[in-house]
Amino acid sequence: MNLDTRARDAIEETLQASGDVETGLAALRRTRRRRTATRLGVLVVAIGLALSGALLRDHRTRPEPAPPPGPMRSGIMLSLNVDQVVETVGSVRPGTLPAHALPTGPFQFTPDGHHLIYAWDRLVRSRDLISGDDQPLMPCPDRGCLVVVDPTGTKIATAHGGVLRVRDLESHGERHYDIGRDASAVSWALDGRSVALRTVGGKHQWLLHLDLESGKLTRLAQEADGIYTLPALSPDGTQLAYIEALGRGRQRMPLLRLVIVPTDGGPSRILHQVGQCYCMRYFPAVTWSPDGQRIAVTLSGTPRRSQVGGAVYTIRPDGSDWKLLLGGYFQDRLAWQPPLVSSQD
Amino acid sequence: MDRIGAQASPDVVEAGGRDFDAFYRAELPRLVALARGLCAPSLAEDVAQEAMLVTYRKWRTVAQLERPDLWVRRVCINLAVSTFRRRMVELRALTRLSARRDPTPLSQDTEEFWAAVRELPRRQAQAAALRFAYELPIADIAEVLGCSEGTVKQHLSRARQALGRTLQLAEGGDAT
Repeated sequence: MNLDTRARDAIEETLQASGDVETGLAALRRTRRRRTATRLGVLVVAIGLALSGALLRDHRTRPEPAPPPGPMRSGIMLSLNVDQVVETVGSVRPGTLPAHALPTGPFQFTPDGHHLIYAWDRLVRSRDLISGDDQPLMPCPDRGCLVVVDPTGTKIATAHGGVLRVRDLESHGERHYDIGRDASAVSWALDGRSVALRTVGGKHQWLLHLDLESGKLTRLAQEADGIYTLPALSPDGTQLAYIEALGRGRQRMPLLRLVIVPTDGGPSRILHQVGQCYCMRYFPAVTWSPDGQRIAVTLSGTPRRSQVGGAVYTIRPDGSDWKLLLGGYFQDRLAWQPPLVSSQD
Repeated sequence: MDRIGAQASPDVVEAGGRDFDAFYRAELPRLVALARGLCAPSLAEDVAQEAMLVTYRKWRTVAQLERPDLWVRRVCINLAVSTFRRRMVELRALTRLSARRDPTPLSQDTEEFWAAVRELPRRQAQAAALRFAYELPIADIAEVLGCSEGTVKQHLSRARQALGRTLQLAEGGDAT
């Protein structure tokens, strides 16, 4: 027997032993139908997952509707909740408040308490809290709207490339201050005469104070491990309050402490150990009362990861009388309204 | 020109294309034989069936080809020798295991013959299986394997020598 004969015999036997072709054909159709149904099922599940994911994302990013309004009052405190909704801290919500504000943009009252300067929808805006009129002041220069607005809402300051630019929104005049380092402006004193800056980049970051009249630049504090808050200048511009974080990188939850430093370059002083925070997205906020007698702080102050809300505490600038003002979901920013000055006064 | 990928003549297309059922009935037995020479006996029917499933899924396109038979044979040899694709076939076969009948046992001589083919280097085994299962001419084998006729002759020649040694047979016949 040679190879070809052996091969023919093998083929012949294999063909005879092959299964029933009609059964195979029926099985093929069944398999085809089953796989088609499986593919359709997978497709439906995938579409369902994609849709539910989109809905969840929309739900997560869509700000919640603001609560129903109430009458305008004097001396209210505002904060933002985790969905960037403007909230009143412990008082009825005035109907003229804007619904939302950007946590990284301006968020402050004018000295007469009539307007709120805030950023939303890529614009820096001024909201008249009596009439409810909303006036756009300028387009945000970047996504985070990292500008600081003077208390009257007529000047804005931005810092890039070692230069602080202060622009008058009415006259369009611009004044430049050489600050020597990349920095971002973070706070404008209520008297309008100075701004606080935070340096950007480098191994250590510094808080700086710039007198806008004399141009004097004072180095106030070196960031230890991280300054999470936007520091706040006191109404008279003589002190800067900020929250310092210790242990960032060594612990997952840094220790936070409220620190105050005089803007003339004097030594800083720890006012209060304020707790711990994961601070993954929502950072503590600091503000001064309009009369400069109290500092308000919002922070989670809890080791519970799941808690994203923040209570508001207040303390005197000498470190005494730390007390809880209100628990809730206040985060990111605080603004304390000066007493409303009547236009007829 | 590659006739596997070529379009059928207009008269075939105009006649409403080919009938898959007839194609299946004509092709499956030898496709199983082809698979026998390339993968384990327990998988041969599944590999052949899988090749037919691929063909069925693409039948509207495949039916327009000049040589759909060569196309399905190429799918079959690719399925049989690709590790990943064979694993997929094995997985699917496992899911059908309870309902599937065992492959019909073949005589010892036939099993030895297919085992000898499977032990050949991959391309030699493919060329030999196509030659033995279909008695394909060199040109068709070259087309299915996607190589030149000279290369096919070389593979077949070496395959015959190796099979002759393994099965202790006279080579006989013409390698080409």
